[in-house]
Amino acid sequence: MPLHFQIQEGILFLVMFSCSDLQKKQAPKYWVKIGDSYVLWFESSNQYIIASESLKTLMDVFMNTNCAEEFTQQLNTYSNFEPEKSKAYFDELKKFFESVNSSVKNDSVEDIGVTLKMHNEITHHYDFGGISIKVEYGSKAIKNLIHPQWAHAESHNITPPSVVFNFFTEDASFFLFKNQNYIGHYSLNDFHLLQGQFALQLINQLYTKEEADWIATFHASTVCDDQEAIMLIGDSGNGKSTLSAVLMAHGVDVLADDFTPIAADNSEVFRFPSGISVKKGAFEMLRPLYPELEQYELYQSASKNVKLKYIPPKNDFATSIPHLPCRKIVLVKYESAVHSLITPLDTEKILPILITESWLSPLAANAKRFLNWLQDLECFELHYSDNDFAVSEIKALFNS
Amino acid sequence: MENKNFKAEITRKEALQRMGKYAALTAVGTFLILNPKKAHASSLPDPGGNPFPGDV
Repeated sequence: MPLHFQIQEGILFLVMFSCSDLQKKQAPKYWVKIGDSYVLWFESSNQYIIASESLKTLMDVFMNTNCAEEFTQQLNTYSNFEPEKSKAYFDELKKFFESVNSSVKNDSVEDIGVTLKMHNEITHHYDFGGISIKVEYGSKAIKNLIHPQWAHAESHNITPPSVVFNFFTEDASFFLFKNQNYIGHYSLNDFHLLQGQFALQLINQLYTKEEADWIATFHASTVCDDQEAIMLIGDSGNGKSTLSAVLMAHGVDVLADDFTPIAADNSEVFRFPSGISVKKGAFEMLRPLYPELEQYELYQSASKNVKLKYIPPKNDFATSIPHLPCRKIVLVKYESAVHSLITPLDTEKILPILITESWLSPLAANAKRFLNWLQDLECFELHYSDNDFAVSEIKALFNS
Repeated sequence: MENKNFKAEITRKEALQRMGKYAALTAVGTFLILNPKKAHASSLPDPGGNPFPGDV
């Protein structure tokens, strides 16, 4: 059983001196202890800080004192710090707290007044368990950025759509509209943000939610049985999607590929019904598992000369379990010829990848839920070259 | 209550003594600062770069 620490708010320790309001206000909004580390969250910057116990203590002393002299004096009541070192720590902590408390401009894009203009659009209808979505693409090129991932859900049985999306380019930017209303625009280099925004809009539509209802959208693939979900994370190119495809071929349900949303109301991960993207380099290995792979359309990836295919989800969205608790994360690393091994990993070790590769809600209530969710996690590292080993170990993790 | 406070202070003292051992390190240098992405994103095998230069 993981040891639970209650999420704490503000400052932990006794106030020995009269505190300056300024330094108190710089305290993290929430913090938890995970393993030997503290995870602190600062609201104005939406930054997460991983600190050792010693550093957390030093920070608490800083937040409870008014000036360098008081800080030094208090440190000396506990241990004989050289005054120069105390002063250096004070200066560093001062800069640190200023930095983590600075407001960060969000990347939310402002409406620049472009109106919806569609000429000779290419229209596709998609169906997700009876939810019909109409998408109008302004060009073949922009369609190629979105459609391949969703081609398996295309419907020719046209029913009135629950929502209409428009994609088009203007002034060297991508634009996305929903029901004739502006959603966002992105530079041509940021097409992955356009795709991410559409992914968000889609899950909002499928689950009747809005952005504030999500704790995070993780850059992760997630597999599940009928009881729980297991998230697969790792740096790009480490085989998350390929492993998902291999697992699916062995009867494991893939809840999400590449984009795993976790909801605020129940802290569960939700199904993201996209195709699984696999790169040409994996085709040969996957062919025996997916004899139909040859039939799937080959796409050129957006910016470079990478060819890929999308393997459709095996389970029907309408009848599949929509969301599940996730208390296990596996850090995946594929390397040919490595000795396959799975080992437990401290939760704090996965945080750099999990946090920096994902969108995490800047809302305080959701950050609190995220920290709470972290405390329940069991984490593992899977370093593998052998698919059979990976499949068998992941399957063994279910309900273990 | 007194015992609890005493224990907390001992813990704190120990923590700071451990800090004192790392005299060569700066305090802030041993933090990890993690920034989540500010926008939802999909990952492609090769994100970045104009996907269709000269064809907008």
